[in-house]
Amino acid sequence: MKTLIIGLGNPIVGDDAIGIKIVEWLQQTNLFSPNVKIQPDVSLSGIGLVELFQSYDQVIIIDSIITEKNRPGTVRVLHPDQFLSAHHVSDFHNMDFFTALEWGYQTFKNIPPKEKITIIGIEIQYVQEFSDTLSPEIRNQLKSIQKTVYNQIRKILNKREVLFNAL
Amino acid sequence: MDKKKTKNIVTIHPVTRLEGLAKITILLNNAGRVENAYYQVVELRGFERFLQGRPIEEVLRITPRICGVCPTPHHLAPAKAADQIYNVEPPKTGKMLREIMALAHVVHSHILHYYAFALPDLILGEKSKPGTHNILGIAHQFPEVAKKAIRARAYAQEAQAMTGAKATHPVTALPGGISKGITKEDAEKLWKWGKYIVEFGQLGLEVWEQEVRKNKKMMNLINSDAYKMDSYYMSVVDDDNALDFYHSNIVRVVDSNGKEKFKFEAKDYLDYIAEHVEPWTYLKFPFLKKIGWKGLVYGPDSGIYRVNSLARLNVVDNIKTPLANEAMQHMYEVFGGKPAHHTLGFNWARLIEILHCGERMVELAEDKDIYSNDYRIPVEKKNITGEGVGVIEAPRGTLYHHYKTDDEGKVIKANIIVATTNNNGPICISVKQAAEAMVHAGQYNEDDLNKIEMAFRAYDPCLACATHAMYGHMPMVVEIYDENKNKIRELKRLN
Repeated sequence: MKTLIIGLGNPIVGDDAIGIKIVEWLQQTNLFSPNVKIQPDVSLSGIGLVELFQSYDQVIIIDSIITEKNRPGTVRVLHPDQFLSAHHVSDFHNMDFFTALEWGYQTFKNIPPKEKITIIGIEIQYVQEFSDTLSPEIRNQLKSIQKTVYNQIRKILNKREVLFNAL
Repeated sequence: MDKKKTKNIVTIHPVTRLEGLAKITILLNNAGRVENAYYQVVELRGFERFLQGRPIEEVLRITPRICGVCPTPHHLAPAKAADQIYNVEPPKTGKMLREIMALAHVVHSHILHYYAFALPDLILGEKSKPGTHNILGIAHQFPEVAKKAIRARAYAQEAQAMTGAKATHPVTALPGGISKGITKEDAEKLWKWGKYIVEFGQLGLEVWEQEVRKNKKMMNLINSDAYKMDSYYMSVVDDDNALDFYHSNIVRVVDSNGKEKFKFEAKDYLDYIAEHVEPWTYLKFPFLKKIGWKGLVYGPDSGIYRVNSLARLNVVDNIKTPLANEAMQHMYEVFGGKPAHHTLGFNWARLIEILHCGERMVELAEDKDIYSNDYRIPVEKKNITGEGVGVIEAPRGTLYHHYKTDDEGKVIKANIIVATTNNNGPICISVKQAAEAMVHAGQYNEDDLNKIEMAFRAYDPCLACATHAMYGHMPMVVEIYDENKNKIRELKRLN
């Protein structure tokens, strides 16, 4: 199964970069088979994001989220129906991710079905200033976040696509 | 939709991540008539401080991250500033490749805005319920146009990737030129993509002619006072006052009669542009300094000016590519002369610009110099001037990047005026105009609200860069308050 793992966020907006940093780390671990394409630095939304899904059987997006229901650093697994509450998945004007995804299904023949699209969200707090570093709160939890995200991905992927079962 | 509206505040603001960052509030008086309109934005702080101490070369790779919607202009404008800081003139090939990047980005951006967000309002009829006016409706009703739009946009994306090394956040522009050239085979691809964009540009104008221009009801709306504003207009122009998206550093301002009011070099922009601050929004209001700030009003005594597609065409004397120039003349014949003050006309102008960009891409691709290896002049720190102002025409209008550096080329001070910020005042006025026309005695329906949003959308506002953030999405919420400013109803409009 051809899988795309995306690190979504903005590298100059503090904790908003957590998805990018996690996926950069995943890329460096060499834990995945060649069937798994890793794209760590994606700052897209809406249609632009959906266009990347073409020709993959499944997509896993690692992104920061703000639900204000969990403490920063909490990892949550989300599905397309919950996408409106995620960070980067909607586009400007009135194009939410769900519409963009529907458009993708109508336009392209090779977008994975909704059940094969997963967002792994990492709770952060609102960022108010530009910064290219993580907050101490997120930075101090980085290793445990990495491990949790990796284990979630391992659950999603086929066994043959993960070269090692645990870190 | 509910018609029970004898309330005095209507608020339209985005939800999800943008919530709290931007909203539109329309204030009604006790009689239910529109009293005022406010467009409020909260921005991320500290961008200048974030850039301080960084080498100007690094800044070129950081600023595209300001915006997930229009990163390319935020790469090219600081590149022009960096040329000035290093006191270097890029060679012809370097400039040509930068121009291709700029043109391809305009095509990419305009196609998305026009076909996904503007066209549904123009040709799908009255909006009776949320979710009916979107790209899905266009794809269903005009499948061939939608397919070609996707293809043209993909070509524009490939052209950006070819010249910028990355499709979304380009990295190739450097002081003195560009870091990589292209081959003859690449130039042939650019030529084919340009040709396709020309054909698609013509198709877009044909669809406009058949579906919009010949639709009396829609043209009545476009021509109505609710969507007109006799403002000043600003754009970069070339030496002959022609349309120029990348090269020139000359900015021209015309008045509401089309007469040239100011013409200045970008480096002098602070002599001509000042920024008014209002306590209710973080987004500043640029205005013409020599005219003055008179509040959120338009006319010859108000320094408020507009930028973006129609403003550009109002400012230029001509377009140097024939098909686009002809299309522009036709537009002004239909609008009854130049300049045109039609806020919804920004959409027509976008189609003309798509055509121009395609034509210009073909011209550039036919010039053998585009695949020359002479694409960058090495720079030396001993030549650093310490200051540069880069200006370009981004899809949404005039974009200024101004930097001061130390002798090592490290940033001491930065100032950026982005397109949507230029249009901040006009957006407030346009929303008020449309609301005044659509809301009577506090009564309005879903279609009325959509028509108010059309005035806002015509500017293709990119809050992402205006707010220095990249949260680029704007689903809407309409909040209705009673006379005592208590919220009694909220309408979520997510697509």
